[in-house]
Amino acid sequence: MSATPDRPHPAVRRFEILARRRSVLVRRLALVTLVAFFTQQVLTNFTGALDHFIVDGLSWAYLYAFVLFGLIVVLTAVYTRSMDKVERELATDEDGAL
Amino acid sequence: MSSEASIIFVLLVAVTLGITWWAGRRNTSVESHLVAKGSVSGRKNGVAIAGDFISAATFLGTTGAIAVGGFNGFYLAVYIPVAFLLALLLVAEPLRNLGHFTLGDVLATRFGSDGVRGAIAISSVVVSLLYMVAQFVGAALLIQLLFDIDYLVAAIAIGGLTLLYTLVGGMLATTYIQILKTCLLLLCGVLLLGFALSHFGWNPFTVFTQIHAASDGTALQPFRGEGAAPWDQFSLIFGVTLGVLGLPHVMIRFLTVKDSAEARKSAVTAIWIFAAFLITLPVLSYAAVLLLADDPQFQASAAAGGNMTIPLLSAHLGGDALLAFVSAVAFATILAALSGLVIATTGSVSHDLYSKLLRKGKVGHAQQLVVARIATVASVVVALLIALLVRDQNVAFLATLAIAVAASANLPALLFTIYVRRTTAAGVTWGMVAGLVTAVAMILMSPVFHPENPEAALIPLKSPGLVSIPVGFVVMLLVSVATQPRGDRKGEADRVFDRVRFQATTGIDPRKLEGDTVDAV
Repeated sequence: MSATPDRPHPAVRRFEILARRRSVLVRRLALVTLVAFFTQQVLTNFTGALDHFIVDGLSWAYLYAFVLFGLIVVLTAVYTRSMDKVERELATDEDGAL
Repeated sequence: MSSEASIIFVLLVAVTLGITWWAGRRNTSVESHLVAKGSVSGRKNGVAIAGDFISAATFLGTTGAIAVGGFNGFYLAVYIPVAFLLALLLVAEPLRNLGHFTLGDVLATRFGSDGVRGAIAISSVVVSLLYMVAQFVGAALLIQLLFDIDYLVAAIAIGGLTLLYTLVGGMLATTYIQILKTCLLLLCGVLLLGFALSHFGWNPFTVFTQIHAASDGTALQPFRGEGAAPWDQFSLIFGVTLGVLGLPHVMIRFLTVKDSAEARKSAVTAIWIFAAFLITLPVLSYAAVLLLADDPQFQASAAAGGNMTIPLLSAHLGGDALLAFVSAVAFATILAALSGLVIATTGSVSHDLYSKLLRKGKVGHAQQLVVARIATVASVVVALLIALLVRDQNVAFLATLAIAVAASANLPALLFTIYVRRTTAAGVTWGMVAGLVTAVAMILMSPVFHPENPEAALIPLKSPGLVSIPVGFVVMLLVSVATQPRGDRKGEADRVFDRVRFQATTGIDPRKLEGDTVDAV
């Protein structure tokens, strides 16, 4: 299928959708990652906020670090599932419904 | 060396040589030598990427740092999955869609300037060479310690095997050796964790409660030093986190898969492995502290930084057999990491500097392969010679410097090229120069070069990232603003950026589509 004056080339339309959705997703996820990680760095390096213990053997600092590992895995899954979904939709969008 | 160790080592070297022979039969072009012809699957590549970053420094160094420094040592593990998530979000897919052999190719899709390709090539060679020397020295000292052999013999053995793997097997052998090593390392982690937890009622939390009692809680709390120490710690983690996204030997792995979906799979696989493996390190480290508290060898290791924590824990838990297995895995780790670094250097020298800049692309495939192989030999020999010369120096700062340069020069160049419309070739070149020079100058003026009197250092930070990274970004921005094209050149620059953005997102060069598409983009 090629372009007409009122209908852009399918590859261009796919690019526009992919670029828009990817950009929104990347900005949100990168912001969450950076804020979560550097908050930990600031709190542990410059304040005593995470020095205390929840119970014997588990400090707030370690709890934050373990939660951060979980958060990274969740954000990774969110990104890949969202991108896979967009690509699947674009692959089956022959009639330009999107 | 015990008989168990001898058998395990001979087996390991035999398997890696078998992989090299198998890969060597397929290593017939410059594409296969540098990027395995894009034939590696996303999952396998992810395992190899994980292997690249769970190096001997992570496996032995981070566990030692936690054993000796408590929670602060864990910083060196936490940043890794964070850095790779950022790599997944920001660079992995665009890199696969734009790149061919090197980071220089990515920048060249937008800027035809020799200066830009030359700057990223030199920066990549500097980063990889610094890293290689640090790895060679650390590896030779470790092998010397583990097997009680001379430094020179250890360095030459490591150099010889690395050379054989990369020269004969190229990127394919390097990748599969890295995969083998990652699998062995994960097995090693599971075995050690199992043996260690058997002493603590199979409950990881018991290790934490016992170390809490033994250290009065200090081992589980963040430690903040005096003066500039918290800033230095922050600068180190800031630098290494962003530096991962500019490390050539890690980033070119995204060029060994066929498309961006596979690049995404690679990053996801690597992040899963990091999360699963690194979260166990505090348990292993604290278990070592509790089980080996009265061992004089452990006390001596702790006084020297704790790098022998895992080998000593292995010997305690599983005797000579487990120690031999762990030592063999550490050895494989070193060889695999070095091989990746050699391939990254080879690509920058043979493809960017020789083929594209010196010969202006007028080089046949056969000749490119010959040059790539010569560059492979030269990379190993140069790094080995420097490692032999600086054997008595403290070279730990080289790895910090390498990653700071990657973060301050390569990363801004990649991000500006992919995402910022107003970027110019002059902006990229001067930004990279500024980032590189600032990182090197700051290290030279830091306490690293004033070990006897750290107070005399002009700059109190040992890790330059907190300053050098913003300098790289800001100079790139300012010079780009100051050198904006005018008239027709502005329109052409916009068209090139739109084309790069299209290709970075879709993997398709719009010039190869129908003519009307180019205008539409």
